[in-house]
Amino acid sequence: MTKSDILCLAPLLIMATAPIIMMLTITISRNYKVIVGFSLFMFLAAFGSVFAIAPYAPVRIESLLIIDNFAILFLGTVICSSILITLLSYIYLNNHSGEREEYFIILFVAVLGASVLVTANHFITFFLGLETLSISLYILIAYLRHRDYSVEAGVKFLVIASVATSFLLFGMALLYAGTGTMSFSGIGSALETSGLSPLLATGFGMMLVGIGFKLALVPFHMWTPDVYQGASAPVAAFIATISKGSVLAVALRFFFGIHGYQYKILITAITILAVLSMFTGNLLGLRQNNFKRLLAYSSIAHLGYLLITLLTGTSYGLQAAIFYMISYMVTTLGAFGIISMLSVCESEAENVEDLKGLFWKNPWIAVVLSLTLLSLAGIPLTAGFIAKFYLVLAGIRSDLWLLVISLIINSVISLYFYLRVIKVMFTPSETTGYVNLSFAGNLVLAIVVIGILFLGLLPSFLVEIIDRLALMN
Amino acid sequence: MAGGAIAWITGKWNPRFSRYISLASVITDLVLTIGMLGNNNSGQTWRIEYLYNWIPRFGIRIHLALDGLSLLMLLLTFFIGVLAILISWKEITKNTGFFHFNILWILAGITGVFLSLDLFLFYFFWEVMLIPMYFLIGIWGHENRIYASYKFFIFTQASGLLMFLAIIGLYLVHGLNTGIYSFDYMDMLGTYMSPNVEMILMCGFLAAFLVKLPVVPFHNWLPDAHTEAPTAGSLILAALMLKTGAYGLLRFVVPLFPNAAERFAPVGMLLGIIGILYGAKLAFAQTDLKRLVAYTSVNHMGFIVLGVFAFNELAYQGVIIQIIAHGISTGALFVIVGQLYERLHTRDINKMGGLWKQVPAMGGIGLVFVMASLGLPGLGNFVAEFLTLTGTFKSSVLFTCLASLGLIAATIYSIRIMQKVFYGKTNPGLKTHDLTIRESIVLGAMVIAIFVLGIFPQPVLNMAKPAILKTLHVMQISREAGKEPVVDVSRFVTDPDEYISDK
Repeated sequence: MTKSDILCLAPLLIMATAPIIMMLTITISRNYKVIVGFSLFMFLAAFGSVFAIAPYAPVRIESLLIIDNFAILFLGTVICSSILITLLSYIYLNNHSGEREEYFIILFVAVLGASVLVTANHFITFFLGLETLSISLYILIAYLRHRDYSVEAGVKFLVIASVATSFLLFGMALLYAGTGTMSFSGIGSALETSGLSPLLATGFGMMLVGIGFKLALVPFHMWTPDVYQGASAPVAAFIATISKGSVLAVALRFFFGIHGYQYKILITAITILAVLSMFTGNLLGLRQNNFKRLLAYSSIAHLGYLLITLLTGTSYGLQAAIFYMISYMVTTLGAFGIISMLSVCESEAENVEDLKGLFWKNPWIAVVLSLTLLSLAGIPLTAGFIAKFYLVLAGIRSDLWLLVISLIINSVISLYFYLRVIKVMFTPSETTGYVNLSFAGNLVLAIVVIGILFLGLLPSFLVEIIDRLALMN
Repeated sequence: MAGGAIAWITGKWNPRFSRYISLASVITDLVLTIGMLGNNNSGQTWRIEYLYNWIPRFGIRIHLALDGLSLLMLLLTFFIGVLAILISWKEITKNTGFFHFNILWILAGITGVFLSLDLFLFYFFWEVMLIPMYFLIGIWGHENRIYASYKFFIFTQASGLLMFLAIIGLYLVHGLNTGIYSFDYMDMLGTYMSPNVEMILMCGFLAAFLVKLPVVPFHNWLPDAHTEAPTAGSLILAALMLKTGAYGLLRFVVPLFPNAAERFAPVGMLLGIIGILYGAKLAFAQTDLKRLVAYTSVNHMGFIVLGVFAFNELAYQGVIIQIIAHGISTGALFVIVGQLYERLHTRDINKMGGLWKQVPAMGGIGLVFVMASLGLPGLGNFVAEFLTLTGTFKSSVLFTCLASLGLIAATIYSIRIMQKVFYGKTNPGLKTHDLTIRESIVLGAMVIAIFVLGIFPQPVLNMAKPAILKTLHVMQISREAGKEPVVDVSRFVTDPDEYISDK
């Protein structure tokens, strides 16, 4: 490992040192604002360093990590989302009494895990990143112990994530046994010579189960609604965006690395998972009255859409995945952000009914929430529309008609429940009152609105960037 | 033109002035458009053209252009827009700011649809006009508004997505064919496709346009949406939104898929006939006045479909006049129904009767539009239906005869409106007053318009002529080319079929 390699790891190193400094600070004196300010500062520094290392890409660090344009784009997105989540958590925990400084330390560790995942190029880093992420998530989910369902959700996540991890490990072990290597590219070339033997197919199957659990694909999705409901809104936002995004990134890298789209068995398996996720997610979302559960089902469906990119096997697919992921993250953060802002700590504004008449109380929040929901539904003017367009285009180019058509059908189904929420906001309610927002809250909403409209109206900016870069090396 | 969008921001925060602001902005648009009438440099195809590279990566450009056809549509749009704002002056009392915001956005979306020459952009505007309409129905509608607004949105959205898929399909077929990936209408004209591909792609477009029109099997959303929407909403729906479907057929389906359109023509004409007869029958059976008027739209739109698939100049002239005349006459009927509802708080036709004595002015104007709707000579609809039928006669005698039956049916339901509402025994419980000045202005303008259209249709025909001829020209070319493909298709001819069929 040379000096420049270490420099290229700057974002990861910054995020690794931050929790240590924060821990030491806390032992000296607890100060909520200082800790929040410091974590924001460190995230910004890490974000800046991503830009600084961008010209050097691609860099391979041993066979473990790879920093190419794909990783850099995802790193940037992950860190950017973390900044928003830190702001949300700050607002959310502001009126929470008790010890809340450690929350931000764990948040940092979780983001570190996610960042390792998006740069992983080897089973070891894949696994390390995933575990760092998951273990921090157990704690984050159960962090506010006195909330209803909080501990239940944490334990549920713990059990299910452990099962998923063991599947994943078993799969990795089988692949290692079959190919004798643990690096993605090594497995790819071994596969090309030997073909997909039953042993390897089993290994892939096991890994698919593990990844399916983490991405909450149907039929491994059962935990999602419960965990979303039990976790506090910022943490749920974290799971929906950063956690899923980074797992998807590593899955994409692995799948493209081994040219998985050439093997019929894998294609069939993933197609089934994708179609099931789309339909189940949207159909179950139809009857949800709990807004967080609704978003959970919506995220299941969206991950189903994103699976299309795995099967494209083209750079188009990768571009679509990145664009979709970015717009999905912005949008989802907006939706969860609004929940956290409307929540008083012990009881969250999580029922759709709680949103009743929001438009007449605070039009600004209602308009932002409508915008996010329309973006999730993929209506023009918003980021979601362009993202969906990109995805459909990539899908059709690779002749994935079944998937594209079920995406279209599902867009129509999903409209119904997004519209229902919007409808509720515009229904006048009996109670009156004005919801006030803090400066940080307005900042987050403004970023979300700008993001959604910018990607929706002037997408060429991002599209050109994605297009120009050779994404994976 | 989308300058209307700026007005709503101010309008939103000062609900009091929002009416004036929105009125002013739409009138400005109207004046601007009228100004363009004079600006006729006949040498070029497009009177005004605007280009901007939006997403060059995908060959998506903001390509707006105006020809005679679009100009006519725009005139109609802004004319109706002004009226829509005027008629809701009193009807809408809550949240006026947001109401006008929605109206202006719908108008902006419709304007965009009539102007865009980039298919992506076209779809974009196509969808933009839906959401505010959804709010319009959902927030300010009548009793059953929630149901109606969902139904409206999901019907139109689902069909729109099919069109979207077809647009992307066309884009890729064109790209593979020529190596130029572009969503531009002008580029896509004359794209060679194998017949099956052409048919499938055309069906995607048709889905969107036929649902919007609506043609009979897909007309289900219309009566609900019309009935539950506030008056301004019904007016815009009937007079403008349905017309985007007709415009789409003329502008996109026929020129882009000439061969498939020709093969589809008998089915299309049959659907038109069914629309004419079935719409008339249902209209006759309604007791809710607004629903009745809604079904007359189904009846009139049948003529449009019939004309579009007749593929000749006369029929197309008829279609264009029909688009405008129906916009005015049915729009006016909705306005009258709305005004009656404001006064009587009922739309039930059986509870009305003998209103002529109390509201002679409204009755008189009502008579004009009912007559227009049944196609009385001298009024716009007569010209339209006459031209359409004459044009269709050249293509199919049988269909023309059947369609003429529709005229008789239209007479029956139209007369029934007059009979039940304005004549007959006076219902003693009803007390009402005649038109106010504002209402007289609205209806008066419409009466003048329908008479002008009926007596001097020639300027309109002249304006639309280049566009019609161009469309027919494309048909002609492809008809000749159909025998021997002009493009070298050997490398592609097997591709598209596999492309579409799901492997």
